[in-house]
Amino acid sequence: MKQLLQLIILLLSLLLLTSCYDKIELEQQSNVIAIGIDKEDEKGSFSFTFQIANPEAGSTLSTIGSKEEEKETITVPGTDILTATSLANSFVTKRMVLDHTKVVVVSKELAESNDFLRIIQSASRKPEIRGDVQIIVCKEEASQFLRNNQPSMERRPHKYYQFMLQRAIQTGLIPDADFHRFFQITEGDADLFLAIYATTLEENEKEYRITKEHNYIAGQIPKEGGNRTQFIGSAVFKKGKMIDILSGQETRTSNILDKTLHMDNIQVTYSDPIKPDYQVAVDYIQKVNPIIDIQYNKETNHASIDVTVPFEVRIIAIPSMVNYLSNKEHQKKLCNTIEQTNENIANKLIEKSQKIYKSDPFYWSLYIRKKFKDIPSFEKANWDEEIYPNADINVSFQLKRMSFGKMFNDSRLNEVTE
Amino acid sequence: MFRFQSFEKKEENFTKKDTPLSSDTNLLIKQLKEIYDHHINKDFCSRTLFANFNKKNVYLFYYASIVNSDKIEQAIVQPLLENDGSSYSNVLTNESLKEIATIEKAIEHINSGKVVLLSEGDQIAYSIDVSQFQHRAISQSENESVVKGPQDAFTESTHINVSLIRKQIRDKQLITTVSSVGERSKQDVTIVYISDLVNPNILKNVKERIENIDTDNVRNVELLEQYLEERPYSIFPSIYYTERPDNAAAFIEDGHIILLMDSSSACLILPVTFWTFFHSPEDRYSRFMFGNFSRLIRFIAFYITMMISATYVALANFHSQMIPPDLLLAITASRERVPFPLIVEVLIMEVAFELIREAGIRIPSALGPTIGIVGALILGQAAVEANIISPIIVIIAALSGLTSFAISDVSLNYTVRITRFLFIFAAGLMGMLTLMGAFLLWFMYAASLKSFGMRFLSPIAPSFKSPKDTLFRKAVRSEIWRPGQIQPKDLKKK
Amino acid sequence: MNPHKLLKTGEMFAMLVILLSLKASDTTASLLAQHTQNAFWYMPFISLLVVLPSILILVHLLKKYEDKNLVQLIEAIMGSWASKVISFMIFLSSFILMGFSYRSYVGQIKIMYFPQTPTLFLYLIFFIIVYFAAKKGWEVIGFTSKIFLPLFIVSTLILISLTMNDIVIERIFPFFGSGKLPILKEGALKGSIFVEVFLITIAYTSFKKTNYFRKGLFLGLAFSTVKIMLFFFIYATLFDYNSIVMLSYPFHDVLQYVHFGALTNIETFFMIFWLLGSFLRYAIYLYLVSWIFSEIFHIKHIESLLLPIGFLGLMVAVISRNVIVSELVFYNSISNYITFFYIGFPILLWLVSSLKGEMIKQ
Repeated sequence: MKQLLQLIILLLSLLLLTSCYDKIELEQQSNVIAIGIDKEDEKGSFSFTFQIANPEAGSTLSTIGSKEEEKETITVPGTDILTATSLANSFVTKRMVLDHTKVVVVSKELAESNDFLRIIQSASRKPEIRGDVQIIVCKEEASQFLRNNQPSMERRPHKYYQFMLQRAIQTGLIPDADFHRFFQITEGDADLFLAIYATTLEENEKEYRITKEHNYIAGQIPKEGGNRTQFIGSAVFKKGKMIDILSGQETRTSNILDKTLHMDNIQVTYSDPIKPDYQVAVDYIQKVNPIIDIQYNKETNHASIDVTVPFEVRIIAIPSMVNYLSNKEHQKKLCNTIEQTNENIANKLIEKSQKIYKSDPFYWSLYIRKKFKDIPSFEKANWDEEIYPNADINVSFQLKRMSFGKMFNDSRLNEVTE
Repeated sequence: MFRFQSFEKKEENFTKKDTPLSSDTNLLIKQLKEIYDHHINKDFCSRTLFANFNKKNVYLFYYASIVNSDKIEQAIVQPLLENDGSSYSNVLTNESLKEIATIEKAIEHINSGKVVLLSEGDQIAYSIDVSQFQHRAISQSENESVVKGPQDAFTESTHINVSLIRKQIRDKQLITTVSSVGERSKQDVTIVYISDLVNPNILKNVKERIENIDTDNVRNVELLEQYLEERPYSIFPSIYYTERPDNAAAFIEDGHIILLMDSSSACLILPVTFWTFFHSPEDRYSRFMFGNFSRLIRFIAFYITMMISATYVALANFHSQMIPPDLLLAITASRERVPFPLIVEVLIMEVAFELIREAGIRIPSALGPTIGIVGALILGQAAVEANIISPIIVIIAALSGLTSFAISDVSLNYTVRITRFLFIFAAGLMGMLTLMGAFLLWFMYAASLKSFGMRFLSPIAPSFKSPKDTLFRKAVRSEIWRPGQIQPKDLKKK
Repeated sequence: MNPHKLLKTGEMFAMLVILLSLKASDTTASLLAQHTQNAFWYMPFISLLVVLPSILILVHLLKKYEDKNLVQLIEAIMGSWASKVISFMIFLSSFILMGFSYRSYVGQIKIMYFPQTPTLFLYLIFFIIVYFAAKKGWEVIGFTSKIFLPLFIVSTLILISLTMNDIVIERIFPFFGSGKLPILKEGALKGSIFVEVFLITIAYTSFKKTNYFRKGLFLGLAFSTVKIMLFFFIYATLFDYNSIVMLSYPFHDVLQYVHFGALTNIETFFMIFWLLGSFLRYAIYLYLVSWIFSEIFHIKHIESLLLPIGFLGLMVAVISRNVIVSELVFYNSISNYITFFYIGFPILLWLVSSLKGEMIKQ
């Protein structure tokens, strides 16, 4: 008992003695939701943009006005994130806390330079920036991107990024590109990393025709209304440096071919094999991961890769009114078209990666690992420069099931109009 | 003042040694009257009768206020006046007739509501139990109410209380022995147990402790509890206090010991574990699923009431990254205009709740509703509007206050409420680091406690053969053991 | 069977599991990964195979000599002078390891959760809590461990289930990491992972039946090995081999990465259990080291030794922070040396004991 009393006294006295250290009141900290990084002209210096959530916006408390802005976006120069936050405190009233950071936005200019890896690595040393922060590459300056991004529905920034990215990743139009994945792939030094590509600039100058598939990159979607920010496509990183941009469709294909990425059902259109003027809309469902079978010859350091992608589709709409439901012939044709289209897209992407990138964005180096006994021999074989660019790759999409949704047949449009 | 001192002196003369009754009856009468200050002590009665069977004068002494006068007439006066016989035991057929040889015994008997009868010329006195202490009738259990289960509660009479227990355990081995406690005012402590179940070491220990209580008067079990326990400064209770006879009976059947006293409407049960305080008799009366469900709810309540305020302080002050952004922003917004540090805010509300609670108990029942209005309106609504506290604190304090009522045991309830404040301070020191440290030490302190030799956290650790009636209970049918931690003589329930 | 002693298999199991399996959360993983790359996850198994014979011999001797704890056993076999040397070596090595683990745990707390608090202050708080915990005595530590163990296991299971979505099994290939030979060598050298098993034999006689001790020891050893390997497996599949080398506390990186649906940043939830575990682990460690010391010098009250020994351990931790810059390098070499000693001494005891037996027979 005496001990307990002593302990209580000790604890109480400690409580009085240590008023601070890591203790911080909630209202004394500003929560940064998004960080933007831009390259400055001078070498080794950057500008950092912090988007801070305003807690008083949308508060239901009667004493607080609901007219307050949801967020404040500020830009300061600095050499790394930490020093920038302390500099920012010369005009931000509270301590900047990065724990709730959802995204890091990097300008394309910086991503293409050698500084990118350096700045990202120094950021990840801090436990505050977690592995699940998403990396976004934007076409313009990151500060401009963050300022231009003015969503009208999800006005609070953390909600906006959470919902926006979650849904876009589910549809496969942008990759899941968190810090954790970035480091695993970049440090693994074998594959390509895909980061989210976004922009607030709409490319009005060029007339982009309306493509039938989602073959856009951010800024090209001819949309009207809504937020001007577009998230589609991905930035390709090789050894921590951006080298190219993939369109939404290519991004989705690489998502399909990569078993470490998960995605939801997606709606896509294929051209109608019977009446080529029309499109068939289907729900693309991938329930099982693609099967990647690698045959590796040690002597020649040559691999042949057989990729089988089993998938299912559910037909949503057949505007051409062709009877695919009961006509086996037609069905088979449609089946072939779907498989063929997918294979073509995949082959194109693979060819591009083999020829231009000399590495793969599908994380396929995982599969070749089994062929090696230890890491030194694996590293010596050099997947990204030697094996992959020279590999024979054969992709086959296999449609396992085709279903027709809740309608047996569409109403005969011709008859109705007559 | 003078009289008081002289009384002490007199008392001393008689209590120090056993004085045999004098053969000079007149002297004896004079002595007795002097001891009881007959001339000023109004309810002390002495009567003189002429006994028919031996033609002698008989003197009766008793306290009029604690005896049944009808019974005196029927059992003593009438037989003595009318009946014939050879000795007192023949004439007075009352079952409680006892022979007394010393003055000390005579005093003790008079004090406990018996009639002491002196016969002229005899060196032996007789006592007949005609006591009638006033007490309440049996009423409903107020503090440990149950929905399903017997409703009666103990009342302030050992006789009735024992009868309530015996009603539930018809066992020939159910023993009620009496030890007396107190130097000046001898009170009876009735020890109830089943003699072929109880652990004799514990029984011996309890009896010794009762005998070793060195004080003038122990009026009731509430005070007895504090004289008996090993660690008076501990924040954990080590004796269970209940007003429910069914509860007492359940413990007796497991080999525990029950202590009863005349002026308490409750009993003490020992030895106990933490789980004893945690359980409610209704857990056993409800079916397996239902009982365990309410145990689970109670456990959650137990956790919330101890930890929620402290956790909130730790999270908000040290680990704000853990709070989801929506909530974080909402809390921050509400805190922007509050002048106090968060921990002070929490303490204000917790203390306020304790105030309402204490006032609620002390307030005369006619004014009861006032406390609700004052508490809810002023402390809740107005304090938030005045920016003294933030609304979330009201939720936290209300939650921790409300859940504390789920701990039905009075003693454990205090433990939990005091612990809550300790934890809040600990959390304010270094967040989760010190909060978990305090929790660990608190827990280890509980693990190191013993109640009459029984570990406080048994039968989990140390483990024993037992019904495993701890956080959850088994189906009643599959309980085949008695709690092994008290080492009953007969471990197996037949 | 001793009716006054209350500790049983459950307590032994819990204490050993807490002592051993918390190694999954400290620098051990990255220490192993430095040399073996992605093969580190099954290293504990190789280490176990290396030290298992010595553990078996020690337990066999304890069983043979009945009612003797580690130090008493050494004394009975080796005589007073040699036994003092060996026992003191055990004490010294365990003491230094204690200081280091102290430093390691406080380091983790500081880096991950209290970056602005002075380290000395954290040391002090950690020490106060652990000291009072150890002061409650061996039995109470045992009871507490036993009750808390299910919590630790449940939280571990939750953590594992949360990582399931993100692990990539293929990352464990190439299976032999940095090569077969380096793996075997490193696995053998890191037998010191299991050094606590030798230390806990000081408590051999404190159990209700010595059988309980042996049962708890083997079950605990098996369980902890599996648990450590499971954790290491998660590190190896969640992080690529090049990344794991760079992380000093992979456990905390996992905690920071996992999320429960939309709830991110849930590391504080797991930190609660980790903290409780490390307090308990260190309390057990402190008690064992003090116990060994008290047995060597025949000091009656272990409790009175806790403060000086614990405080000296704290000093080791504080001073080593100033003297040794790289914890990894020093800890690596010291744990290699210790392995040899702990593998060796039970064999020595066994040889001497059987020689003595022979002599008596003749």
